[in-house]
Amino acid sequence: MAQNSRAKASQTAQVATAQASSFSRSLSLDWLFIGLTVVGVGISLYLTWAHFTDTSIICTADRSCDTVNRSAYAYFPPKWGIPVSILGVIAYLGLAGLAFYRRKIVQTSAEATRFTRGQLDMTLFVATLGGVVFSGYLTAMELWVINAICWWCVASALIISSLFIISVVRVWALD
Amino acid sequence: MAKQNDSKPRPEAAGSNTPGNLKTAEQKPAAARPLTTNTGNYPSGRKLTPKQEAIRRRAQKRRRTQLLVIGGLVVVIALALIAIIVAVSQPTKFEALPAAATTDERPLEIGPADAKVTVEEYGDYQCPGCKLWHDTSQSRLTTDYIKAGKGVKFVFRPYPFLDARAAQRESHTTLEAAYCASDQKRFWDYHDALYNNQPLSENSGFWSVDRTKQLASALKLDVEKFNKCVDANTYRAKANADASAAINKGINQTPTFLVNGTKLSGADYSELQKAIDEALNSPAK
Repeated sequence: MAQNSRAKASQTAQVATAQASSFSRSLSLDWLFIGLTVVGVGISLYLTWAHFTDTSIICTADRSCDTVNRSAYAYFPPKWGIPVSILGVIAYLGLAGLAFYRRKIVQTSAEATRFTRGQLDMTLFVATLGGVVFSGYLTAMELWVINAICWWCVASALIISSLFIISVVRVWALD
Repeated sequence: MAKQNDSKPRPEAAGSNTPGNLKTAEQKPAAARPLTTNTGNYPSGRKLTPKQEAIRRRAQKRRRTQLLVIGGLVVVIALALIAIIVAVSQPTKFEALPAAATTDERPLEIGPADAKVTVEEYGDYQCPGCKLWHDTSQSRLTTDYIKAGKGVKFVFRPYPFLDARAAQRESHTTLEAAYCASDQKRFWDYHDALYNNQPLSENSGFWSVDRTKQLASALKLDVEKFNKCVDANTYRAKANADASAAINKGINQTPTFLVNGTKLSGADYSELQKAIDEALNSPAK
């Protein structure tokens, strides 16, 4: 009886440790995700501001950032659509909102929200996949059409790719 | 992550919610369940029976396969679309662009300002005869008279008229663009490029405002400044005034050449040469 309870206690302790480490890992991944979206919002806001105030962007000497930010492809659809920097602000804010919401429901740990969390991870996966595809399109236009590389845009592409990888990891691990 | 979900103690899990979920997981044929609804079917903080565990693993494996297949398909389709968009959006390849930029001394003029003989050409950037003269005789005139320092200057007088009945005002668009290039002292580079890249037919729609911008970019002009100039229609009135001036002068075709104000009947280089030589040899300017 005593042995049994000791074994149980040790099992509980092991579970608790595993739980704690994976929980903190999950939390730091959450914070990484949110942090990246915040950086993304910052970059997009800066580019939006530069776009509307016609300000030259802090850039390499060839001013390739201005070439890109003032090209036809700085709008989606090209030439007449919405400035892509605004789309960036909206997308990163949306992702940040979803990530905050996910954090909230993970912390409440109610069974009813587990279902939601799975859906939320799927939503994040689909949203970041869309972001990666769009970012891929923009990068392709920079490389092969505009023939100018804007490092702010590259930074944004790397951020959305990182967010996508995190989302893939989460969806992959869904039980 | 999965581990965490399984092992997390959840007091609510003991409620009516969980057994119902478990039952659903066992009863429903796995393939019929959509991707997202698989999540959360297994309670955490409880040990699954081997059968449940096997079902869970199978479901997870299937979901991962779906993820790979769907994700892969999306990526392949996206790459194909991007490749098509890139191919379609390729900027125009302009012919015979100068290797190095030339700076204009004076807009629309070549040769000494106080030259004894002034050769004027009335031209339209859409006019095939003007292109022909540009291709065959312009460089001869420059070499024979201007660079040779014989006291001859060449003046281009724009006469945009070939687009008068066209939907797109391409004679005007090109001229206004050339004036914008002139703002950057690159009129002659732009002028040459317009003739060197003249499309096979007039009013074909080739010379859109966008294409004039692409040409400016290809000629390495300050694109930002150029685009602003073009978009603001800075030289619209000037182009219209040029056309009126040519009409008032009695010019009725392009190219038309004047040597010291005397109109020549044709555009033949030998005729032009003769007129220039006569003017050079005449005592008065």
